[in-house]
Amino acid sequence: MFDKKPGALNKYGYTRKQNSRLPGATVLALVLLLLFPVFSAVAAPTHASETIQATQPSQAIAADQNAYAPAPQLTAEDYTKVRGVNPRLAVWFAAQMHLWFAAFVLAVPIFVLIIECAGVYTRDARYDALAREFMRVSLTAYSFTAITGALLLVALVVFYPDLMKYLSTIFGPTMLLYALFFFIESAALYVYYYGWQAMSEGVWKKVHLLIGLALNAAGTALMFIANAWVTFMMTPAGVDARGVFDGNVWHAVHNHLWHPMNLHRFIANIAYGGSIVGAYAAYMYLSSRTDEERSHYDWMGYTSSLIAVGALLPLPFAGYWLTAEIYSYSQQMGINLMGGVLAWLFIIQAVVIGALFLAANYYLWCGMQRGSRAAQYNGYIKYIAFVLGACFMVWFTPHTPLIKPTEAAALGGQFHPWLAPLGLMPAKNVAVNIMIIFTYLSFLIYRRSNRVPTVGWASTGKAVQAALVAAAVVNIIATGVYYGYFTNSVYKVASSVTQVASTLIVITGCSLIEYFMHRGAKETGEYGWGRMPARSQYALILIAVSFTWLMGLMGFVRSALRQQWHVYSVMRDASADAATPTVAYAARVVSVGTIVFMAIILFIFWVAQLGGKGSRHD
Amino acid sequence: MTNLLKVVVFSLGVIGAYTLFATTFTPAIKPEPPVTDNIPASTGMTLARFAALGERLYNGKGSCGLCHNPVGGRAPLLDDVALRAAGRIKEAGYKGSAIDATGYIYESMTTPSAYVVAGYGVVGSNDGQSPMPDVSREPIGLSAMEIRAVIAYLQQRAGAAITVGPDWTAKETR
Amino acid sequence: MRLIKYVFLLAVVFAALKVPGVLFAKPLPVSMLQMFFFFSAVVILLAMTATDEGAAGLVQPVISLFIDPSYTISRAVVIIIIPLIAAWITFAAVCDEAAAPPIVRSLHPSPPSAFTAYGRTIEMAGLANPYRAIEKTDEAAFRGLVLEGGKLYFKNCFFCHGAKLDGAGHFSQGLTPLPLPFKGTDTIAQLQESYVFWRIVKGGPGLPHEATPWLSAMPAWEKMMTEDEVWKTTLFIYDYTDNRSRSWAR
Repeated sequence: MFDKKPGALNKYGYTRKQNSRLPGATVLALVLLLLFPVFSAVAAPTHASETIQATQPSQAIAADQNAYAPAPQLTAEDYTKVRGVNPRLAVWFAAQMHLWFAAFVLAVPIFVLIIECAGVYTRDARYDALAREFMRVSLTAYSFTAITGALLLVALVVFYPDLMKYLSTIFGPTMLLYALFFFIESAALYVYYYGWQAMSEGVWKKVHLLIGLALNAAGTALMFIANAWVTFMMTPAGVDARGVFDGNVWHAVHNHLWHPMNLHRFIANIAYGGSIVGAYAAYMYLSSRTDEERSHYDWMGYTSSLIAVGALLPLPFAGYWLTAEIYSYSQQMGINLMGGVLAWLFIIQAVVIGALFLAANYYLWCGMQRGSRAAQYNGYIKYIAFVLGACFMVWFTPHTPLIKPTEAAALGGQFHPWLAPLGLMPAKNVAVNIMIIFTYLSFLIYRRSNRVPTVGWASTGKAVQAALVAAAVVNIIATGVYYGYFTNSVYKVASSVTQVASTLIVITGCSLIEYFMHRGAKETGEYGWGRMPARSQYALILIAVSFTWLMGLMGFVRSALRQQWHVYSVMRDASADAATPTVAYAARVVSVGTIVFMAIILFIFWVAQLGGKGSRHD
Repeated sequence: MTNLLKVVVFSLGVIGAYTLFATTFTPAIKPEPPVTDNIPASTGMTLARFAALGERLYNGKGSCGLCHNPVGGRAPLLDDVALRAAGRIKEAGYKGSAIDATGYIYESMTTPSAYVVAGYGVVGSNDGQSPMPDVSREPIGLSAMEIRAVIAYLQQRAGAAITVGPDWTAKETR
Repeated sequence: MRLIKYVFLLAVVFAALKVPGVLFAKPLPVSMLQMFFFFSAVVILLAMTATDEGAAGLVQPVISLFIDPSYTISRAVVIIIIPLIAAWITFAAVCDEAAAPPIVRSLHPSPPSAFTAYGRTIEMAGLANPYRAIEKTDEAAFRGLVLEGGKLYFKNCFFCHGAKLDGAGHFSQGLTPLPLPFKGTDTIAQLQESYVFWRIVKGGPGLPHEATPWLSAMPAWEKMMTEDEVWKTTLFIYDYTDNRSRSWAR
């Protein structure tokens, strides 16, 4: 059933990832042809597998030639060595590139569909134009997704042939499904984009929205399938201790981390799409010549940053779920994640997320100046900034900081007595909840910069809002400090629940009051789209760059969790690179990757600009 | 063009700042290479030495202390497991097939759900299922010899007589 | 004048970050000080440039310093001072004493639930100082034990941990990591006596894996002191520093 030699591509090759436009059809045909042998080989022994469970595995294998083989026990000689190429680095780089592009091409249709729906709902033609424009400029990215996917496939097949062989025996049918969904996605993409004009009226518009939905459903399904392969490597299911597959693909797909990973990546994709569109708008805004262009791109940047930040806020909760599932699959894996060497990585993550928060707030503060009543609220900025800054610093303070021996001599210890309590989880929870509340306050004053409430109870409403915020902040700090430092550690988790609850109550409560207070409010003067300073646009660019970098870094953590395993606990990595690299090394790889990716994205936008000039108003 | 340059320089600056932080403000801890040592199946060693090997496995390859410690409260402490074991197999909730104390310990390591100490089961399983992995399987992957060494260590730790040597085999009939 | 305000605010932040070191002898580690200062500078800058007037107020003086003919002298001063500051910082960084690179280690690693010493296995749970019981019942005998512990301390421990139990003994300057002080509420007050007993008996060589890289010079005292002596010494260090051991029960 297997070829021992690497290079027999038809058995397990062309199966991993590809997204392509024009070459898509040819590749697809090849994939389908080549996959049939795999599929039939995989389909045949499914009945036999039941006997495997019933009897001793070794007997079953002796008795049944068609049964699945256990995962191979590799030695260092099983890996292809190419002079001057580090296999792990090559695969890492290709996978990272492919992931960024895939996230981008999945995120754009989600984003575009949201915008198009907003256009239908508000009857504001600007939304429709924006959605269409963004579809146009990102079309080239699909070919890059295919190219990087092919690179990844080649790298995997060349450097890790046995792993690919093993995975394809298990996931053969899903690879077929992958091809099918890819076909649907491509078809939907073409109809969605090229049919935009033709389907812009009446019922056809609804059909168009449905096609957009189909496009997204197919794209999301593609991601879910690829997620199954990746999560199987972390938390294998459907195989026994020696890696013998039980024949049921669903078992392997539906492994422990599949759902949490699906949710986490889905939300992250929305945020990522918003951030990239924001950066695009920022760049276009900076190079705009006319007021009309400026106001268009300003509005585009605002809308997309709102979506990006809005999707960012629930992301930590999805992350908690993912972590909880990792713990429940293997406590060992969970402790490695949060307690070992990788713990420092979460300090780095804290810095990057803090930078995201600051940038988002700064953008809102600058945005206030569009409204005519901004001067009234400018005074609050410094207080919000102070609180954000203080929380940010609490957030990234490690419990045991990097300390020189001479400093330790002066302190008389390895940690600073005042900073150490800030390094614990309760302090971080307090900090992040307050940061979210104050970011929300930035958003509130931003909205008020152009509106005057006309209802009679406006002052009461404002007082209630202030009371809500004050109560929540007091509650968050008090429960955090009390439960975090003065009681048994059993209650620590309980306190974070009340903290998150008070944050959510503040946001929903204040938003409701705000909505009723400003219903029918009079807008003061023309809203100044396009009246943004250039420096504010760099905040949007920072958000996109930080998102990209952070995605790379967290991708490293996820992969590093497997430690010295190809498939955790089933198939050992016997290559020279089995050990986990240092965090600093990972950061360098991610940085180089980010630069290359950003350069290609610039190229994509540039190409789109070339083609777009003639057909802008078609 | 100047705008493009500014944006590029700004982005590189941001990436550079993150890289600088990650490389110079965090400790350069090098993760340990994977543990692959196996205890040779030598039968000519004293019980005390065998137990000492067990202690090394307990803290190293077996990574038992990761959960069996007083801090995290994830798993019961093993200080006196060798003394308690004989009582466990007589309890009503016992589902395994061991007939003596050492057999019970061996079984707990390879079939953890045979008996779950109250309060330590998987959440929602009503203590019917243990969160502990089978230590003879990967990723821990202790060999039968190594499991015996760990049992010897657990006996020593409880202050009981060490009865499990390299040649011991479990009596698994009930 | 916003530029002056900005510089002033930075100076205030810098001073505030220096306060723990100058006034309370608890200097912040340089790595943390740099980060706090950098992010404070960024946050203040963001808050001050949120409005156009604010941004102009910050940038305009800098621009005019470089192009306004009437600022010739200030310009010359700035152009000379900035490289000098850079040179000084570089010089200071290069001239740093030959200090070992910083190392992160776990100060109080979690104890094992049992360890082997004095030829038997000692369980941490339930391990307590046998002499603690007579503290309330027989005051005089207890004082006698503390005195004995004091003598043992000065025979064995004081060379590193110091005459005042402040970790500043004669040898302490030569050791990395430093001997821990017992005074104050950071060390033994946070620990149970059983933990202290374990640390004395097993010393640096007996540290668990998570505490690496320890180059601790603390000997494993089980070879040199009897169990009794260790407990008496423990009595003394708690008594002298007026600390109580940590207890979990309320």
